[in-house]
Amino acid sequence: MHDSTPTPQPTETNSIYGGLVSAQGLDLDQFESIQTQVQAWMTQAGTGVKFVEARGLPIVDVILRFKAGTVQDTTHAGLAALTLYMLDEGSQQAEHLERLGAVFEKQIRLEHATLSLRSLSTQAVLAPALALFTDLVAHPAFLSSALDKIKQQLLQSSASRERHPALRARSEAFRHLFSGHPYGCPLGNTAQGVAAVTTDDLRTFHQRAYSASNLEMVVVGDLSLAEAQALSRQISQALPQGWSATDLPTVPAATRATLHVEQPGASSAVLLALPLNVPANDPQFPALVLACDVLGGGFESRLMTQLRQRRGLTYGVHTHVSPLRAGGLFTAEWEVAPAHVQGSQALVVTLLRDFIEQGPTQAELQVARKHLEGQLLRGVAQNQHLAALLTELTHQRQPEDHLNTYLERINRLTPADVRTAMHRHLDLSYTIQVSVGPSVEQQPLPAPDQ
Amino acid sequence: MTRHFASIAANRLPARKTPLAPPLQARRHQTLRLPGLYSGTIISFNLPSQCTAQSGEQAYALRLLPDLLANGHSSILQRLLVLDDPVLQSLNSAYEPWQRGDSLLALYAFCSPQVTPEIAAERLMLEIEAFRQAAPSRQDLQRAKARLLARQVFQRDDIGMQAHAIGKQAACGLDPLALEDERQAIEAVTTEQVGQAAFEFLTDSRAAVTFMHNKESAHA
Repeated sequence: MHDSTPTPQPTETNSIYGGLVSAQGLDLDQFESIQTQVQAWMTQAGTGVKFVEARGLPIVDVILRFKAGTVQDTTHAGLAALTLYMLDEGSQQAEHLERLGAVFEKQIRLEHATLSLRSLSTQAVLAPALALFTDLVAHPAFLSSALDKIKQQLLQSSASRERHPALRARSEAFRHLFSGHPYGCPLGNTAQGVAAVTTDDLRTFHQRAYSASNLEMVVVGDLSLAEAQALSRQISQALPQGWSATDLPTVPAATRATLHVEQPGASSAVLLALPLNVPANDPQFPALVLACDVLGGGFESRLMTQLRQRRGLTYGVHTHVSPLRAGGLFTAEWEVAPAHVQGSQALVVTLLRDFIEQGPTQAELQVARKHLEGQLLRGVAQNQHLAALLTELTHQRQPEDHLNTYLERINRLTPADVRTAMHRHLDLSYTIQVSVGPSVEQQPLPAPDQ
Repeated sequence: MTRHFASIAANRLPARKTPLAPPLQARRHQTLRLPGLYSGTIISFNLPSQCTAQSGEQAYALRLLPDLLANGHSSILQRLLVLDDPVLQSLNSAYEPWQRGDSLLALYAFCSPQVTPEIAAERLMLEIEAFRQAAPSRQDLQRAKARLLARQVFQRDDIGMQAHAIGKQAACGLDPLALEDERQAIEAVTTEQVGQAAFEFLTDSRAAVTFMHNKESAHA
């Protein structure tokens, strides 16, 4: 829980550290640098691999990211998700992995299907765990007896996503913004599509989308380069060969909209979205990440200060930039009393307009830099986070030196750079407002406390 | 330590209370009906914590119960009630060993369609009773140990989690250095010890059951 007591005013002698003895001698304005040694190669079967040797703990993390997300559903909406969820269904491999204490996880998104394995590095555990993991991904059983159950679970999970107000608001924004494009099916399935899928469809989809050449692999942990190379070879040779997803068409032109979904509840979920067609590897993208952080990234952000601290309208308001390969969006999300939906939407639009117009202050920018720096430093210090981060950076097609130069690059950005990037990429005339909750008579917002 | 904390004057600590489980009684239950709630059931048992367990063996036997019973596809209750006879869509379990007083073992179960929370709870209680009457198999115990021990290594990847583990151990009056010996103690737990702990603690009189119903109309 966040502490809502106001931060004490800084004193001149001990600026922001509030007199903490333990913070003396710390120079928070000093930027740390990241020196992660990433080895990269391509296997003969066409799998791109990133590897970081980390000997501190007896753990190995392996992440497989296939371009086998729900946008690859060309026949039936739901096929990609069912293929992933059926991989380990009814298999002995998953049960054996559990007995080794290994953790196997799967995740499906619009653009990818991701599988991960976390295992102890002891040979007696790692070797069988990798063999089971490889077999599970490369030679799934796709038992027809399990398909009906998995279909039912997928539909139930989608139905519960649709009942969840904040997720529903997000889905509505995607449906509107990407209408007619594969991104316009945010749940990744339809009842009709799911009903039509057969185990033959799963096998056909698996043969293509789970190809070695459609895979990016990340390995972090307690093993040598030679061992990591052998591991990557083992997995990529076992997989189907020779298919790669092609890039998606660019997203359709956006139009503004105000959408409301009627749903009972004690509060409303509200979302504001703007199209943001800037790939994550665009040189201006870091400036947009900083802008997003100043606006709604932390407890001191502009939106949090105005909506929560000064008016008590919401518990939290957060902004995100979601870069997808063929387009993307900027979102602000908050929960509010149903009578304050319109008032809070108008307030957020005003704050956003002022921010785009003026840009951040130097002080705001510094807070955002330190926030991002802290996140990144903590992230690279953990094997699991580092593996996930490298997977994401590879997916975003970031250059090799991205990680080790990122902090230096955001440190160089000025308030004017951030303002320029926002002017160029954020256009309020395409605002999409979504609310999910009960319709009630709208009330004016309470006056700010000061 | 000296640099950061030496200047803080020592003070007498307030008397620490050790909250203990309520005296044994009949099974307790409550029903929640809320719009948007998943239909399911939560079953909790009053259990000793790492501090209030009668012995180290008992304390570590209790630690293995969530993995044995409900965590992972091949846990006993998931095999029976999610895979073989899908009364439940999903199931998981949690037990907080670090408390000054007694603790809880909780099982969170979500019902398959057409199964009521009451039926799901009854089936769970029946299977838990069967588990209580027979010690776990060696294979199931090995699986639970492998998972618990691996997880402890995995948690060391996160410096925050390490601090948390040390802090919790100290806060409930146990020696943080004893964390070093946990691996050995967990490996030494026998099927009989788990069977004995289950027999003693997974009883009706220690159970509290919550039935969760989704009520689509507004909450009155």
